[in-house]
Amino acid sequence: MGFSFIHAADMHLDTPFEGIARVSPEIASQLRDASLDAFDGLVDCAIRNDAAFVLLAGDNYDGSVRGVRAQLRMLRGLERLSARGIKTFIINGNHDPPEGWSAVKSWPEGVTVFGHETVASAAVERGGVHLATVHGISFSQRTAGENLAARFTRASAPGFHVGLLHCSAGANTEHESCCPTTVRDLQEAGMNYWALGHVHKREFLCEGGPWIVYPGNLQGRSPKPSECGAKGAVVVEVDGSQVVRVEFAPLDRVRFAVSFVDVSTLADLPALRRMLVQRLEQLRKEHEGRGLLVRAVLRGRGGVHRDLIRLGAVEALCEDLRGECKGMEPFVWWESIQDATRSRIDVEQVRLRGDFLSELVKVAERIGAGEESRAAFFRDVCANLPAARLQGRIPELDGGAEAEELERAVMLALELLEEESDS
Amino acid sequence: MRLSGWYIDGYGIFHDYEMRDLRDGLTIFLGPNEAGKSTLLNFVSGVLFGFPQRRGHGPLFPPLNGGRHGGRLFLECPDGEVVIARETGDRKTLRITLPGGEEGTEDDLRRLVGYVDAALYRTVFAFDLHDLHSFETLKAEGIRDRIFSAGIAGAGASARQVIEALKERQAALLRPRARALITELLDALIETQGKAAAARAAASEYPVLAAREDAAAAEIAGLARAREEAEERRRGAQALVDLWPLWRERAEAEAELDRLEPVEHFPDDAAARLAAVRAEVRSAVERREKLVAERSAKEARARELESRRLRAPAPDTERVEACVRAMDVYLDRRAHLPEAEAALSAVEDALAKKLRMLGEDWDEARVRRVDGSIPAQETVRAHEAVLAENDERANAARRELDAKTNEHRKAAGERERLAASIEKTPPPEAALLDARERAIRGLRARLAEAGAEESRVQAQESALKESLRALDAVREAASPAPSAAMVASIAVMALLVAAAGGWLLSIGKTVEAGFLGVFALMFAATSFLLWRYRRSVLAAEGTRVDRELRAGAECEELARVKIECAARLRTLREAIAADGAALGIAGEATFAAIEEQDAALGRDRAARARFDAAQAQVREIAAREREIEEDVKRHAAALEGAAVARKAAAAEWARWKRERDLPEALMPRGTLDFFRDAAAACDLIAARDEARRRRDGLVREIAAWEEDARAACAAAGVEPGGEVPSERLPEEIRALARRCREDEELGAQLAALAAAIAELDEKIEIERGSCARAEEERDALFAEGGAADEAEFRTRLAAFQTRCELKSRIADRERQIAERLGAGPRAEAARAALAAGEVDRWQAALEEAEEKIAAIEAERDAALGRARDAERARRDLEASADVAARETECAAYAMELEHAVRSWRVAAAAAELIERTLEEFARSRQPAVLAEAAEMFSVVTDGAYEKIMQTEDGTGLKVVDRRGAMKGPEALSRGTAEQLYLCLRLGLIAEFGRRHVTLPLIMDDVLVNFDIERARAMAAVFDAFARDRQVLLFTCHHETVALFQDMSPGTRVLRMDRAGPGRGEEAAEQADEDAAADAREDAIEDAIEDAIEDAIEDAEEERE
Repeated sequence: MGFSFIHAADMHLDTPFEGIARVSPEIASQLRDASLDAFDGLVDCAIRNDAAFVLLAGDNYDGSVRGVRAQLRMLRGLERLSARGIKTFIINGNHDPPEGWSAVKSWPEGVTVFGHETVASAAVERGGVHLATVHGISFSQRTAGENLAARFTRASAPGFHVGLLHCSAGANTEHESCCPTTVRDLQEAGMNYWALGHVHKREFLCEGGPWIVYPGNLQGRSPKPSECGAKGAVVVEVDGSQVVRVEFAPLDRVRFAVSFVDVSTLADLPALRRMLVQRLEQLRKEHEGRGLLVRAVLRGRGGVHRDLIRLGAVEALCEDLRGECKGMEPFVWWESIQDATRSRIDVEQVRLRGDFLSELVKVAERIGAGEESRAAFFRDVCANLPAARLQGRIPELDGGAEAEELERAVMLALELLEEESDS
Repeated sequence: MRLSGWYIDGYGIFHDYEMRDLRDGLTIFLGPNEAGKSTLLNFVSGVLFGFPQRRGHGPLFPPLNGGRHGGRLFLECPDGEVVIARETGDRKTLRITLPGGEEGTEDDLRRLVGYVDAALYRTVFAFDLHDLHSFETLKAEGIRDRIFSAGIAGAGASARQVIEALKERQAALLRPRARALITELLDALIETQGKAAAARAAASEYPVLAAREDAAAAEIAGLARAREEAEERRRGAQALVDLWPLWRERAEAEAELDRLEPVEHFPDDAAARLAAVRAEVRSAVERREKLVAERSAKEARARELESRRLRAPAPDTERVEACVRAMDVYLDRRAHLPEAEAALSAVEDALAKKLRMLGEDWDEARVRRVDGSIPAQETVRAHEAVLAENDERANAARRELDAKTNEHRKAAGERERLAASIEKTPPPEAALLDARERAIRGLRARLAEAGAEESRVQAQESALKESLRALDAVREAASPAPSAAMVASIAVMALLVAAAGGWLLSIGKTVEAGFLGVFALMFAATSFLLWRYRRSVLAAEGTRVDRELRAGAECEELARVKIECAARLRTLREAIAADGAALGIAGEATFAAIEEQDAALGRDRAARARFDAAQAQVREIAAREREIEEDVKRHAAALEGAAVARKAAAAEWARWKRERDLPEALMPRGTLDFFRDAAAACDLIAARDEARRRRDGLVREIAAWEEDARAACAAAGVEPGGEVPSERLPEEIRALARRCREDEELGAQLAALAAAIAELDEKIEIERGSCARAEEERDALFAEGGAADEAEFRTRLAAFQTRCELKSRIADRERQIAERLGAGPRAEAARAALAAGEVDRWQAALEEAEEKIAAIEAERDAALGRARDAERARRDLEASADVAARETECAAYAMELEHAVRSWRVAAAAAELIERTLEEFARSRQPAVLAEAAEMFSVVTDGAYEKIMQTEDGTGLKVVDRRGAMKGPEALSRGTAEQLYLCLRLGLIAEFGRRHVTLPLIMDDVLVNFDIERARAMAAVFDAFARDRQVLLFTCHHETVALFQDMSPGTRVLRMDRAGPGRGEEAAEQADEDAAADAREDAIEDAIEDAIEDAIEDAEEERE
């Protein structure tokens, strides 16, 4: 008998957006509600597809510290599914411990929350016909390092079997390790479909025999590469015990888009502005119907680099572009413009010139040669910063950041000195 | 760069003072105090770098003798003379005139003076005795950096400016004790983090709020039950209290009923029926009487009308009415007849006029023949279009031809002008220029490398000298040791004397033996002491030899390194010379020469670009010229074709007009107008015929009506025997019509009255029957009520109605009681209680129950309030997005803060890098300056001081005397310290000149504290120093002039008077020399005294 189900994960309901600067109040309100609206869209999607059941593979909600709005919104959504006879299977991830559901006294009928002690199984029937068996276990700190996939067994039960697990599988290194397992372990468990959670980027680790799927998170939350682009859930169609089709359903309300712009052919800031406006139009077409948070990363070597390093130039350009997007529907917000352009100065050439700039490059190389000398240099440089007040509020300056900032400082100094010399 | 002169409009004592032809080398300005030497020094500095705007920033030197406050400097540069003009004031008054007359910018001036700023200039290049004395001025912020890095691309003043720019960047982000972006973001972040924590704490209260809400709901439910019970009691008591009046009324009604006469039955609606019957009888009587009165009135009216009827001959009503109907038309026709005649006349006039307008030979028949139909008009318009199109084509072709002819003329002129402006000799090719640029870049790198190599050679040389001196000292320290043979022989002598003493003692000569023993001891002691001395000398000598060997090896190593450096330097110099020669640099290739080459290269590049652009433009214009010529030919052919077509169209048009009998002169547009005029004439002919027909019709119809009217009048007897005139006819006809209408009306009225009287008679009879039937019905009603007459009937009726009312009241009260009490045991009990009638007890129970309910309700309201509060708080929390909003804000602030701090760190790191590089630069280049200064200082002090060294921390200086002792400048005498500072400045200026540009050196009486020997030596240094640069020395001392003239007889001396500007003429120089010769001897004596004093001071210093 054919049926379909929905697989979603990492909803992180009502968790704030990260890595973006302040936005206008109207947009802030839309960002706040984005994850909750996306969840409502998930419920609508399940109803629209007449899904037999919905799988939520952990990190649904970030614990009681996030307020109760998300719990209640989720509860209402589950009630809607329950009212239409759609079952929901939930596991907890490393961000939503079971004790975090303080606002939920009882789950609606048809909702199964798997515990974290043992792998539990639940049968799904419709009209008296057995459709599938869902096996799942929630994450707990006690089993954080354990390969929980090894506990799953299909036994000899016939039909379609689904494994529901929050874990790290495959080679993804962007997220902290969580119940690490391997594709081989998952394949050997005998499931027909592995509904995984934890990795925010949509991944199909195995397409058949069995299907091993990370649907990605429901709503992108930062400009990181794994959070950009379309986000949502997967709709899985099954015929008997065979997966017929796995289709991605975009459900996000707001999208992050990063546009890389090569400035090497641009003459000046107006040309750059025109280029950015063109890029925005392309992005709006690509992500039609969604609010857009756009980050432009400027790269390459070009004359416009000198304009960009002037104090406040990038911020002024960003503000200007934001003003142009005011009133667009759906909204568009230039999250930031990041200047990664490089000077036309060739450091290798400068080093050989034997002049002041060459000496500066050598001084910087001496400072950067050892970790101790570099750290001492930055200790001197940062003496006037309010270190005590900043501590814990911004990332500590580690070796990598020091090296990167030293390089930027060298380029800035060379650029300004060259400019002064030319003038 | 050389200062070739100045013009002072107004500055201090100077007004309209010009000095020209200042030369390279040393020039002395001799003048007494207040002659304006310091003023001149400040003027030069002010014109170059700006005058102080207010007191406190330096002396203002307002113009005491008039003129505008400022002036001009004339600078001799490699490209020609540059004029710098500046005045004081807030306005920007700087004017720079470059060679060739172009106006320059401040950047040109900065480049001209090698990016030296005012502070550097006044410290190093133009100073007086006060500036000279302090080393602090040399250590002032940036001076050292500027000196050692000046002339190097990207350093010097520009590096300072970059540091300032970076510090501005930092200040925009973070400012100590002031608000800036980082502190603002940090404050906002901390505040928002507090709010987020509060929101999270509020969210964690959710279960507490839910429990509070549940408890309040349970309490409300309990109170609701208690209230229900109390309400039940209250309702019971209230029912008894409320029902008691009803219960009592029912009992009273039952008693009253028992007392009344028993009339159990009576006709239904007896009172109403009685009233209806009475009214019917009365109404029938009244109607009958009214009809009788009406009949009498109508009979009287009929009689009156009969009496008014006339007996006279009646007119012919039909004929009169016909005349009356046609009379309005008749009168209208009579009124319109003159108008019709006038219209006819006007149309006839218009027609005649239109025919005249068409032409003399045009009549009605010819006009009717003109065909102005729409096809004919279309044909005319087609002719018109063909003609217009041909005209337009011809005109357009003419315009195009004119435009292209003009364009061709302009292009030819432009091409000739450009061709004439192109230089005959083409500039060098781009490939050659690229090769030159590469050569210049390579030469500049080699020069920088050679400078560094030279510094290394000098440093190695100094180190080698030092090592050689150390080696000599070690060698001089060698001392001879006593030989081993001598020590051994003395020891043998001691043994021999001791043996001899032993022999004497053995033979008993104790005294002699004693003497010999003493001698033996003395020899032994001497031998032992000599052995000890020899051993110590040998040990010291070994150490010395080791030191000598090490020093020798060190000298060899230094010499080897020096030779290698020198070899490299030679190679570099050869390469530089070769490169310089290849570039066509005459003489030594210096940075200045390279800059000249670079500038020349830039000019050649610009010239080449101009040349190429002009050539391309000429080619482009020639091509365009050829294209235009083709266009001219094409447009001329088009014009000719258009003229032929135009002629053919005109002939066709003339033929068409002739065929239609139209005037020959008509053009198409005029023909259309002619058609419209002909059509108008035809319209006028038709209008005239119509007007004529209308007038004739009117005359005919008026005559017919008058004939009918006269016949009617005659029939009615009007004007018997005569004819009524036309004017009176309408009036007579109207009178006859009135008479006809009156007769007709009287007849109609009489007939109507007779019919009405007959009808009234019938109605009167009917009303009589109605009255009789009503009286019979009344009598039947009385019998039904058991009464004989109306009075008795009414008494029985009242008794019956009272009984009915009492029964109804009893039933109503019983119904109300039953409704309130219902049925069942509780109702029975209530009826029993009501029967008992204990009203007071019921009232008390009611009040008690109400109090209880009020208390419960108060409790319930309080509980409801608590529940509402808890629910509101819960709902607020459920709907609250505070946690998400605050955390989003925190993340945003943190991100912005991180970005700002990173930007700040990068700017700070960049500034620190430049600072450290400047320090490094100064450290690595300073030795060459110090070596050069030390050489001059050694010459000036006659070798008393040989070296100048930096202190270990790099911030101070020490001098090393000929014995190797070091001392700081503060330990030197004033004169010696000033000599040191002067030498340092000369070293810095030489370094600056090597690296960038040569600026004139201006000094104001800096030798006054020198003794004669050192002044002479310094003069020699100056003489050598001024050989390849310009030195201007201001002094008021003739002996100084004499000193320089002794050293260099050709020294130029210019005199300045106290009274005003100097004459500036060499004719005065001889007079000055005479005066100087007289003063020289006095000065020498003074100088000897000063020298003795300085020598004493130096001796004391050395002792210390």
